[in-house]
This record gives sequence, structure tokens and C-alpha cells, in this order.
Amino acid sequence: MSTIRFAGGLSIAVCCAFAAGARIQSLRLVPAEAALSGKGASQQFAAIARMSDGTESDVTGQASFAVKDPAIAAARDAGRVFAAADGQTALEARVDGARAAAAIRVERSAEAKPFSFARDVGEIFTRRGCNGSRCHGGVKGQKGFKLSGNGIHPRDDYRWIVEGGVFQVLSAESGGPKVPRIDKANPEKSLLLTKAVMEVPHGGGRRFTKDSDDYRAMLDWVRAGAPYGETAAADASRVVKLETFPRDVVLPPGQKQRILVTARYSDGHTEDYTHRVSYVSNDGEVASVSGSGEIETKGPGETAVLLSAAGRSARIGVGVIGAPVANYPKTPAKSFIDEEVFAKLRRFNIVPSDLSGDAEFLRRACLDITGRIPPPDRVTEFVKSKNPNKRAEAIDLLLESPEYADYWTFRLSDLFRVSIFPVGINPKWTQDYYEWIRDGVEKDRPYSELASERIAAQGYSPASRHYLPYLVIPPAENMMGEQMRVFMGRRLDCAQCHDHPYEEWTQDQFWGMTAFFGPMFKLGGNPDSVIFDFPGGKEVAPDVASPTPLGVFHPRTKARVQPALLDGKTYPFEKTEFPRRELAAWMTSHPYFAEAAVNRIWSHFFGRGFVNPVDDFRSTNPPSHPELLAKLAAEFQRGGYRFKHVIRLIANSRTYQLASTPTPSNAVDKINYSHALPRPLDAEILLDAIGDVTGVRERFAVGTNRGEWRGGKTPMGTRAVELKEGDIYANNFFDAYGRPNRYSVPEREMSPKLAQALHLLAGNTYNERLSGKGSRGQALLARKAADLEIAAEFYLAAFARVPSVAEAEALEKLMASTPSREQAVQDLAWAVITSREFAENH
Amino acid sequence: MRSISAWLAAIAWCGALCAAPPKADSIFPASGKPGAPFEASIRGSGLEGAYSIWFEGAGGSAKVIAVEPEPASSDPKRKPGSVLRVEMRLDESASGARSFRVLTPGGVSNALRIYPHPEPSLLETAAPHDLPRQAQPLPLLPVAVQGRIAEVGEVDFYSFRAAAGEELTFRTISSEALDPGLAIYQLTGSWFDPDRATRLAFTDEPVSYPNLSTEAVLRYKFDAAGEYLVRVNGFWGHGGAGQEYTLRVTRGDVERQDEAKPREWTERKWTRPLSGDRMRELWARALPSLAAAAKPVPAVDADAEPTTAPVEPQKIQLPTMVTGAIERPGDIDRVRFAVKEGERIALEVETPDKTVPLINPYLRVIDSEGVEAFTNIYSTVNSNGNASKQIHPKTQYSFPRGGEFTLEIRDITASYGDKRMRYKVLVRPQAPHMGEVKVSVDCLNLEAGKAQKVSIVTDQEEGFDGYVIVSMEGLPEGVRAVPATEVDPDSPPQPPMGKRERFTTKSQKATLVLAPDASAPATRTPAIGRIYAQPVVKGELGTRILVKEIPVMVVKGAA
Repeated sequence: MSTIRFAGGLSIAVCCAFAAGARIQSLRLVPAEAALSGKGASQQFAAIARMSDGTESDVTGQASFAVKDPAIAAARDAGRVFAAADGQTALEARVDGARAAAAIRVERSAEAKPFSFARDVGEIFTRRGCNGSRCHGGVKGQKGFKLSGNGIHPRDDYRWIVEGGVFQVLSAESGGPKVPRIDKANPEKSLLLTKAVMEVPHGGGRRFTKDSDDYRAMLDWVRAGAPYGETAAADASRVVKLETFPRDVVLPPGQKQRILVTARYSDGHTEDYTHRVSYVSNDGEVASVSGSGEIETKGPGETAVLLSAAGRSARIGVGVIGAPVANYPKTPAKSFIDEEVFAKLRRFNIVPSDLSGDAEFLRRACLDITGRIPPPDRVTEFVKSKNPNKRAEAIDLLLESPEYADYWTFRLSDLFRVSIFPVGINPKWTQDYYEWIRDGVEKDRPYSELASERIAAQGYSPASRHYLPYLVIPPAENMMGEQMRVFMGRRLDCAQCHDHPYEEWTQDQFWGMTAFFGPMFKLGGNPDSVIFDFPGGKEVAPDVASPTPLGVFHPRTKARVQPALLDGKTYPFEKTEFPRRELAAWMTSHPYFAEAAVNRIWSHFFGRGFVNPVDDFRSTNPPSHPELLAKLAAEFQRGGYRFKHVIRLIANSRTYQLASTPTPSNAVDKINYSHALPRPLDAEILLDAIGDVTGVRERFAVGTNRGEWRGGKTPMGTRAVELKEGDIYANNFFDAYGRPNRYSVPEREMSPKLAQALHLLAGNTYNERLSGKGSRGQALLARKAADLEIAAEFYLAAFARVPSVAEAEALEKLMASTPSREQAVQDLAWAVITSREFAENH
Repeated sequence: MRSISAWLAAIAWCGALCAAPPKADSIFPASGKPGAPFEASIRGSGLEGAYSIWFEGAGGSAKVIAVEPEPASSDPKRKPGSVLRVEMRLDESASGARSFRVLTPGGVSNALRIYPHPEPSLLETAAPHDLPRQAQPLPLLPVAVQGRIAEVGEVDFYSFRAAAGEELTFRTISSEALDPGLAIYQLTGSWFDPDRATRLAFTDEPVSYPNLSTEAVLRYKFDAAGEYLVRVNGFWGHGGAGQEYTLRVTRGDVERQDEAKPREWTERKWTRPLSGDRMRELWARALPSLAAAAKPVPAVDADAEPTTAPVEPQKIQLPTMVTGAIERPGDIDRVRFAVKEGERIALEVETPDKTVPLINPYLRVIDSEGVEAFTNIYSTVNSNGNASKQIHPKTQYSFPRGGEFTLEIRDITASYGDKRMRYKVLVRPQAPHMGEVKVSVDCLNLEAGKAQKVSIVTDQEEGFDGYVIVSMEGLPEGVRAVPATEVDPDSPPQPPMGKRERFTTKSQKATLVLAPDASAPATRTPAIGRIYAQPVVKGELGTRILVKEIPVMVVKGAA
């Protein structure tokens, strides 16, 4: 057995496939002993072989199983043992001459467990996927039928089935007519059954057949009068945790791994749940999982298998490694970043790419740090320089450039939502908000300070403006959800309506956090409102004799919720002058804050965060490099939460400076930072780059693409990244290439669109620049530059490189064959700025 | 053919506009050096035939040079008007902004202002200076640059030299159409762009709150000697006709332009002055005898109290002026006072240095048990069904029971406070009086034989239940002002108005009809029509108060 650290931060014992030619040296069974309690109790075993090359491998599928005393227990299927009579015996497994045994004790074999709705019916819903978040376990259920996610609230589920009623979001009360889902008089006609077997149309399709055990179990339950069954004591003993074997696996493609699942109850006892859970693979192209819990690896990569039952969930990380590499090269590490990244690549048999060339590095760093492509003369100068520290010096220069401030103000303006609504109405606050961000970027102010000011913003302060996206204060839960996503990288939204299906967040926690935003109000009319929090959480309400409690009310209990942090600490309104300030202090000092921030920054430089999406940290979506994330977060904190410190660390790492050209072993790797991945430029950056290459800039007019001009234009020379809020400008290019909606947490839509292709061919952005007055092409023609000189300058300006010999030959031929030289230059420029190489950072 | 068309167009332009009342939109330059004549252009409509510029009081003089059609605008929606060229001279003896109107055969125009400046004037050049490299030099400082954001998206760069440690002030004076921004740059270049100008400072009033100035003022100390740039721009890239500005660049501070003091009584504005004479002023708007009996209001300093709780707040008698500042975030100042059952009081707040929304005084009165009696937050439900809240500079309250109460004074936020966040809170008994009086017109151009109405709305504050006599004097020959009635239009149903009696006043409208005789002679210069309001309380006549002066002319009607 080897120890491999794995995504998710766990240092674990893993099973590896044996290399070709390796022989089984020994065999063991997991678990080594089992107690089967009750009638029909069973235990799934896994046979694990130790191979001659030192690795371990799951050989459950190849093993033959036999119980020593068949009167006590019986082995069926592959390694599953069922209780028959009280007593002790052993299970023996054999593979290729190797043997292993496990002790089995059977007790109370004649004693059937008392009926339990949660276990005997509820688990069917989980196993069959009925109560998953995309089906009846979703927030609103499906077609008026709601089940709790993974059966976490069996009493609620029972009520919805037996009594009927339409589920209502944010209310414990049912709505609509109460039509039971079962028919006690005609059990076979119960909707619960007829839908599941598709006797009546069912959006979820057939879940089981009439001859299945699950159908019979449900029918028997209805025939028995649909009891709930459990006693109060049994009800109190609930599954509190699902434990798995193995916790994570690393295998080559085409291998199988049996999962064992053990449920731990609140009273301390455990049960085998291997065949009672629902299994889902996060990425079927990396690994699939069968309904009985057998993982099969497909292609290299990482994914997770999620399993859920009895309202609980767990995950197993699955890593699929490449083929072993002979003479794996030693790659020098410049910092802890490289050490962590390269160590993982080594473990996964992935060879990192070579260091990028100077030109490739310079273009990439310029785009990532300043959002600009380097000017041709700067590229030439940099490539020619023999200074051994030129890369580090260039990074410092870029970080201190005014273009850095332009670019990171733009980035944060996206994240912080600098926006105007509706367009054209008194938008001064937007400018003020933007300038507040810019000031923070220029001075490299601690991100924790900016975050605090934004979270606790009051009055007419610039940072308070984001609380008025539509000129009214949004619902408190939306505001809380946004701050959590932006600053802690967590999405609590699911817990708004129910305890989170996969995470630890509860509905109470959600509303406790939301309560911090409960006393918020605004003074004055639009758009110059003042944000404030009613002192003491009591408001002066119209036509009410005395002040009334203001704030957040729990949707289920209807009780007023006091502000409470995720860790449970409360801030009663009566004792807290300004709860939001307390929240800001807690959030920005919490480890989540630094983690979320560096994950965002890392994602910017690599196109993918350790956690992806960057604001979706959760146990079922673990970081790809947990130790590196933790170290970077610690560095961020040590450096005073300043962006430049982390950016400098990242940009100077060899990992960041790896070439984009893949090696045979890393070509398919997308998540381990083995080589630079091409990333499409954001619309604003691309538009500015087109202006830089062609020499013709865009003028931006306030208005809409429907031709509604609102009377304003940007000054000459304004770059797209300098727009304080891109939303208000009419621009087809932005529309085609995507600009985020800044009225909610922004996400850029980067997928290619047909509109982009059309814009390339006929859009004004491309065509007007080719023939525009003062263009680079015209200047080159005016000074009678040779064809190759023209081509070289366009290449340097766009790609930060000169044409290759083959490209130069082809270009020269093409230009010479075009009758009009002006047309030839325009064609060349068009080809350059519409190329994929130009439109990506690589 | 082209020549005939031009004539026809010119005649049509004149014919269409000759009878229209004049309207002046803007003047360029927006300021002038007193004592030195300068040419100015007044843009507007109905200016054809303009024969004089009429200054309100002393302040300046002007001679009409010509009226020309305004060149077509790049904005197709905008209808071109006309441009009146005048030679203007501002008196050196007067101070502050000068108000003037244009006189035409159609009558007297609205008022425009022109500001004096002591610095030499410099006109913006016609050469483009939109980019830092194109900046127009300012050879000498101080200077007042007369410029215009003539095109949408235009910005104007000016270059100047500053000495090390020199402090300069940049201040704009602009037309109403222009909301200017100022920024200081240095041509530093950057690794990417040798023409890059680095911004050193900028200003634009971040607040677009009603009634606040949009003028930009920037004071900057230059660390190093060198050449710098100042940029003037229109907010959000607006530009076009009427967007004129004066950029004053001076050493040290530039004095604020004195605005003409409003003659009107203001009752509910944060910045109205509250003095120790306030009770007399209020009663003077009811009866002279009550005013004579009013005593000066004593003042207490609320900041003098120790702020560490629990300390008994100072006790005050009514009326008292409570002064202080929100010295730090979360600061709460307190005073105590006693009232009898049914006693009616008023709280008035003045914020002398800043105003809403930069300071938001929150007044809260609580009883001895800590139960809130009232605040200065007015809650209503708007037509969309959403709750709306505003804080008010004046709140009235009638105590249903007597006892001792505490007044808390704080900012509505818990985030702001410094010694400049000063306030004055007058805690006083209510004084029923005539409040603000609003007149519907700014000038009157009457045609002989055709009557025009003037609406006068009087606020009746704090339960004032008397009458208000309104009258108008100083009218031109042949013009009478007579009271009239008119039908009130139906009002749409109002959403719930909350406790409006605490925050709003009742008002009444009177109508005066100005009726010129058919034979009333046309006037060449305006007469000053003076509108008076006189309260009447229980049959006793109060003081006649001059409410407003408006220029009135009699003009020839259209043929």
C-alpha cells in the first residue's frame, strides 16, 4: 500500500492497480470482521490484494467467496454476506492461490427490525434518485410533490405522501388541495407506485418495475395502512455520518474499485449501507460508478463519487493516473508553489511542459497582470535582453504600472458589481464606487479592508452602492448570499429552504447569517439613497404606533432570527450597535476569506482555480491542491491581504511560466497546471487588443444596441477596461463576446457563440479598424515598409513573436499575389486579429 | 436658388420665433473680469429683436451687438435656437454673481447668472486638445479659462507649470447644462504607452442630490516642479450646445462665488440658519405682538456631556438650541426635557457644514422607560407598495402624556462621525405661523387685454389657522392684480401617507389674476412687481411680508 495525498486534503491509504506482471503476494478482506444484527442483515466485503510491486489492488470482482458455516451466513453476489442464524463463522476469499478470511458474528437473526418509514421506504427514494436535488428533493420538488433532500426529514416526507398538499417554498405549511400520494383503499392505484412504474406519465421516467423488491416493499407498506412505524427512541437514533472504504482511490484507466459504505448512527452503532445509498460520479469521463457501488476508471483526471443516504452524504475522490513515465525528468522548483504542483504531477505520472520562451512569457504576463498585449518594441527589447532577472523585473514593472491599476480595477468592478440601473439615471454614485475600487487597487490596499468596507457599507459611501442594484435594497438573503460567494467562496443558497443536501450548512445557519442584513433600509428617494441599519433592529413603520421589530423571520418557525455567525456566535440586536460590522470583521478574518481570495487570483492566472467554480467551495467540490491553497492563503494573510504580493509569487513561479506546448503525458491534463492552458480574452481585453494592433480605438457611446443613444460618449482614447460600467454602452462586440450582468454576482459567459463568428466576418469592430484613419497598416504603407516588415510588425503586435519561416514564406506569397497592397495589408491585419492565437492568452 | 432658400429659411425662422417669449439658456463666457468689457454670447430661444440686457440691481451693463441663428447641433433631436451677442461689462463695485435677463419685443426672459473673476481671461482655442499631448498651454497663472464642452465625449486638456510645493486651486463655473469634472495629470508615459498621462487627483461631486452644486473644485499641492495638465470634462461624456465653463486656476484658495441670498423664507431645509432669534422670527410670521414677546433661545452644548454611559443627560427647558457634532461613528448626544400632557413641540435641525446625504441626523425621543415616542424618520408606502423612509429637518409632535423625555441625536449610520459633522437642534414649543410662500412665476410678459394668473401657495405651519392676505404692487401702467378663484383639479388617490402631520404642513393656494387693460402701453423695461403675504390671526393683522419680486412687462401681442 502506498500513501498518496489527494485532492480534498486527505492523506489517505489508497488502492492502486498493480502494474502489468505484478503478482498477488497476499490478500485481505475489508472489513476484517463484521457483526450482522437482525433478520436479513448483510455485509459487503472487499478483497484487497497486495501485489509483488508493493501496491494494493481491489480484486473483489475476481475473488471467490465462501462462508465456513453456511447455516450461519450465506455469501451471495460478489462478497456480500447475509445473516441466516445466530452464531460465529468466517468468510473466506480466494484469488490466484491467495487466501484471506474475515470473522462474522450473527445475532438476533430471527428478529425482524420494526418497520421504519425512514429506512424501509425513505431509502428507496434515495436509492432510486427520487429525492435528489434535481427531482422531488429539489427546492420546490416536482409537480407539487416534494421530498426532503436524500430523506433528511422523513416525517415531512411521510406527511407529503400520506396527507398530500403542495409544497410551498419557505413555509412549513402545505398549499393547494391535499391529495394523498397513496390510496389505502386501492394500494396498487397509489400515485406513488403508478408514477414510479410509469403506469401514469412520470417526468422522472420509470424508477423501478413491478417485479422489483422496491415496488413490493412500497406496496406492502401501503397495504399495511402506510404506518410511519418508528418509535420515538428509534426516531432519535439517526444516521449521523457515512464512512467509506476507501476514502479515495487512485487508479490507472480501465480499473475497478468496490466501495464499502458504513453508516454511523447517533447511538454509536454502525450498519453496512453499501447497497442502501445512491452513487453519482461528478465526471463520468474520468470514472463511472454502478448502482451497487463499483467504480470504474475511464480516462486520466480527477473526479469525485458522491454518495447519499438517510439525509447524509459523503464523497470519494477518484484520481485516474497516466501511464508510468520512464526517466521522469527533474523539474526545478522556484518556490513552494512549484514544489506542490510538481510533486502532484510526479505522483500522477504527468510530466510538466518546458519553461515558456521569453516572448510567450511576456505576452502572458502582460495580459494577466495588465490586460494588455506588449508593444512590439518592448517584446524585441525583452527577448534580446540577457539579464537573468528580466522576468522577475518585468513582473515588478507590470505590477507598478498604471495599466495594472486600470486592469485590476476593471476586474474588481466586475466582482463588486459597479453598475447603473436604469441606464441614464443620475449615475454619479457609480463613478464614486468605481473610484473607491481604483483607489484601493492603486494603493494595493488590503483586500480585507476593502471587503470589510463593502460588507459593512452604510450611508452614501461609495462601497454602499452595490446594495442598490435596482435602486431598492435587495432581500436580505440575497445580500448575505452574495457576500458569502464573493468573499468566502461558499454558496449557502441551498440552505435557504432546507438544510444543505451535501454540506453541513443548515437552514438555521443560513437565516442566522441573513439576519445580519435584516435591519438594512434606505433613506430618501432614488437614486441618492442612504443605506443604514435601524439601530436596535427596530424600524419606524408607517401607520404603526410604536417601532416594530425589523429583520429576518425564519420561514419555517416564523420566529425573528437574531444575527448568528456560522460558528454559532450570536449578536442580539439589543446588544449590538451595528451587527453588519461584526459580520465584516468575522468574515475577513476567517480562513475561508483568504482561501477564497487566493483561489480567485490563482484562477485568473491559470484559467482554473484550485476550486472550480471559484465561489463554490464545498466538501463535495474539494480543491485540487489543498496544501498549496492553504500555503498561498497563509502567504496572502502574511502579506497583509495585498494582491500584489500573491500575484508576484504566482507570476514568478515556474508553474506559471511553463510553456503552453504540452508534453505527451500532460496533453489531456486540464487541472494539474502541468502546462499553460489557452484562455480566451475577455471581451474588453480583446477589444482593446484589437485597437492596439490595428491602431484604431473604439469610441463608446452611452445607449443601447437598439439605437437608443443617451447623450454621452467616452473621451477619445478611452480603453474598454477603463469603462466604469460597461453595461451602459451600446456595443455589439461586447454583446457578442459577453459582458457580465452586474446586477447579480457576475459570471462571464465565455463559450463561443455564432454571433462572434458573424462579427468576425462582418462586424464593425473588425472591419472598421482595418481601414480606419491612422491605422497601423496605413502607417506602415505610408513609410513604404516591405511586406515582411509589415507582417513582422503585425505579428509582434498581436502575438509577441515574429512569423515563423513557413509563415513568412506563405505571407509573402499571399501579399504579393494580392493586386492591391492596401487590401493585402488589410487582409493580413484581419487574419491576425481574427486568429485564435490572438484571441487567447496562452 | 440657394440664396433664395436661405432667405426663406431666415424669414421662416424669424416669423416662427418673433412672438415667442424669450428664453435664455446659457451664456459664454460664464464669467467675466469686472471692469473689463468682454464679448459674450447668450444662447436661447425667442431672442430675436433683443434690445437690452437688464441686470437685477447693480452689477453690470451690456450692449446688444447682434442676434444670429444658432448653428445646427450634432444632436438631431435638438432644435437650434438663436445666439445673442452682447458686449458686457461687470461693475467692479458689486460683488458676487450677477443676475441678468434679456429684453426683447416678446418681453423679459428668465434670469441667467454671470460670475465675476479677478484673474485674466483666456479663451479656449479652436485647436483640438482632447488628448494630453494636445493640451492647450496656460502660460500664466492665475487664469480664468473660458471653455466649452462643444461635442459629446469631448474633454479639454490644459497644461501649466507648477513650482515644487505650490498649491493651486481649480474651480469650475458652469452653465446648468454642464456637470463638470476636473482632474490633474502628469505626462509620465508608461511601459506600454509613452503618451500615458498619470492622474494625480480628480474631483467630481459624487453626490447628485437635489439642490447641491455640481461645480467641481480641486485643491492640489504639487510635490515637484514641472509641467502638469488639468482636464475638464462633462459628466458621462455629455457635451454640446450650452455646455460652457470657466476654469479658474489660482494660487491658494479661490473664494466661493457668492450666490445671491435667497430672499424667500425656508422652513424645511437642512441648511437654513437656525439662530437664537428663531422664536421671534417664527412669531413674526404670525403676529408682531407675539414676536415682540419672544425671548432669545438659550443654547446648550450637547458635546459637553460626558459620553461614557451611564451619565444623566443635561436637562433643558423649552425652547433650547442644542448644538454639537457627531464626533465619531456611533456617537449619540442626549438631552432631557419635561413636557405636560398634550404639549406640542417641534424639533428643527440645521446641518451648517454638510447636508443630507453626507450627514443624516437621526433624532429620537424616548420616555423615561426607554420607549420610543417619535423620531424624525417619516415612513410612507409608495405607489408600488414599498415602504419609503426619509429623515426630516423638522418634526412636530403632540405628547399624549406628560413626563420627562430624552432626545437622542446621532447619525442614522453607525459608520460616520467627525467634528465637522455639526448640527443645531432647536427643541421648542410649536409656534403656529405662516410658513413658506411659493409663487408660480419668475417673470411676467403680459399682452394688453389678456389676463394671466399667478398662483401663490402658502404653508400654514404648526396648526396655523389664520388667513393670509396676498397682494401685488409695482405693476406697469394699465395692469391690475385682482384675486380670483379657480377650479382645483381632481387629485389621484394617495397611497397611505403615514404620520404626515409630523413632517408636512398644510397649505392653501391663492390666485391673483394680472389683468392688463386693452390700452395698457407696451413697456421697454420691466416693472418690479412685488408680491406680499400678510397673516391674519383671530382678526388681527400681522406684518406684511415681501415674498417675491418679479419683473413684469407689457408686450405687443402677435398680429
